[in-house]
Amino acid sequence: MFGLAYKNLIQEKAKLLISVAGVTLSVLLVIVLVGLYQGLSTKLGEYIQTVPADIWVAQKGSKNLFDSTSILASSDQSTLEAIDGVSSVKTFSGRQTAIEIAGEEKAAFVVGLGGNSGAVAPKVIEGTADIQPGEIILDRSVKSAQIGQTVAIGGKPFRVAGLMEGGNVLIVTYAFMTSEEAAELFKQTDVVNYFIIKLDTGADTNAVARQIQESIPGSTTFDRASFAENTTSIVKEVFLPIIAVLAVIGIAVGVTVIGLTIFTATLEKSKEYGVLKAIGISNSQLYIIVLQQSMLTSFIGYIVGVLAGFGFARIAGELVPGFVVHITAANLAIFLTATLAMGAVASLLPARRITRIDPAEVFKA
Amino acid sequence: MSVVLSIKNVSKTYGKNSRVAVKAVSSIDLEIRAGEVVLIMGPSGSGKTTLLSMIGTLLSPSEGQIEIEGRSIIDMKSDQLAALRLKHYGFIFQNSNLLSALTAQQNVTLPLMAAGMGHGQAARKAKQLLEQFHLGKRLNNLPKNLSGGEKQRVAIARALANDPKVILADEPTASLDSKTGKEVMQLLCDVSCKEGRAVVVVSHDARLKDIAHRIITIEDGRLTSEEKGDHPLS
Repeated sequence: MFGLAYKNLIQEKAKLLISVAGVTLSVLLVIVLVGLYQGLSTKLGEYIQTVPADIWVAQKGSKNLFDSTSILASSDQSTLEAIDGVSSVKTFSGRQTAIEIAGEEKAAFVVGLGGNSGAVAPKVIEGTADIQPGEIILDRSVKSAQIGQTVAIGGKPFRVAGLMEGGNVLIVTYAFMTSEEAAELFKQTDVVNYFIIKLDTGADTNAVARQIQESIPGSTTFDRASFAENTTSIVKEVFLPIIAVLAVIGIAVGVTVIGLTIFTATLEKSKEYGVLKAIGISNSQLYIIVLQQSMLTSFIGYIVGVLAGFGFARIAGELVPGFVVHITAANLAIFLTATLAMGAVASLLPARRITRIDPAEVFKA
Repeated sequence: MSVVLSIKNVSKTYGKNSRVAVKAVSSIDLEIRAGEVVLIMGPSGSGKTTLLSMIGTLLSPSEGQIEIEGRSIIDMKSDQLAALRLKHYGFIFQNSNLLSALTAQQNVTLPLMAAGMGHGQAARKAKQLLEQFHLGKRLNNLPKNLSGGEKQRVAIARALANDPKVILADEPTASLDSKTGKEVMQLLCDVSCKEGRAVVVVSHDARLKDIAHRIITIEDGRLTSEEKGDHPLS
């Protein structure tokens, strides 16, 4: 019976093309959205994962790097160093600000490097990561950024000394300068944003964290993984509902296109289905034929959609800085299952139509 | 010859309301034997096709009993009827009604595979049948590339595929020229009679009397006459 399903499909090439295009668009939309969501989540937490911290200390109420400001007194460093189990204490300061470059303002998250800062230098692909006062490292995706170029922050000029890779995550772009200049620029001479704690080998993270919170009133602590996760949760909170809605629209489009084209094809072949019923093919066998047509269409659409999705992501990644798409094999397996399920749902309407075909009609000329 | 089909006091009324009810077939009794060709004739609207549909289990009678080899079909469920049609009936339609996406051989293979035969065996049997109907060189042709007579011969091969007890044909020569029509029907009857199948043909074509053992005439849903056909063995 699979032969008939296949032959029916390829007999109507235009309809097959429309169905496949519908599924392809649906799969493409879902792949790009989910891939973008995952790409942003991964990238956003990536830098935090590189910072060598066992515990991040922040002001109470602040839970991630970007969406709330944490202010702690620099003098708390000695208190932290005195706590049992603490091996070293560094500072981390960073703030969202505007960089004026080639007459345009760009938003960037500026992080202080060197000195007492525990921030890690980014992956510099051009110029140097060892910056001096008056120098800055920008992401290479920042339009028109070049080594030696002068940019301004708060009216103060900085020379671009290094260009890094992977510092643009669509919703945020990192930039790095010396920690002294960052403190001066942000008027944070007596305060820091976070403390980064390294623990002694074998120290109990929870016990140290409790002691920190008791020793510095108004502070809170996070281990590295949970601080990174809190940061990526920005993407989850902002984008996930939007992605879910768009994915549902994508799936609905796919189901509708396959359903309608298979339904139309079924209507056009009503007489042939009537003949099949008359000669003794059961309703369940006919349903399997329609289901096979729908599933085959979905599968072809899935393959084309996946290829188109990867192609689109690659081109978009080159054209739009920070357009990071991350798709795993597990995602692809889930998409395949969902696409085939979409095909199965789409076959219900035509299958219902088939059960209503009266085989006696075939005796009418 | 043994009785294959037994139709006892069968009637069909369309519409339940007594004001609009139309009685298409009224109290028909008929027995059809193995190896026999029965031609049902009558004017348009006389109930021939309704009777054929009831014999073929495509339509349930309002009254009466239909038995195939002694088994009543009246209380059978739709899946049982489908299985019965697949194995015990062969259908030939006015316009051949081949599946347009399948080749001649695939059209004949389909009912064999639906009945559970493996693809290889079904394809071989389909090939044999088509060769028997002089279509050995047309196996891979789609219906659109076959002549009317060739299409009808493929339809006959399809009808014979599962070795049915009964062949039901509705106006099988209507879309063929007279010479081709007669050739096709002669071929059907030769093969069927030789293998002991019963053939029931509904037709306006009086030339088919030559191949019929019995001719039944229906008017206004009633069986009005029954006579011997011109088949040499009738």
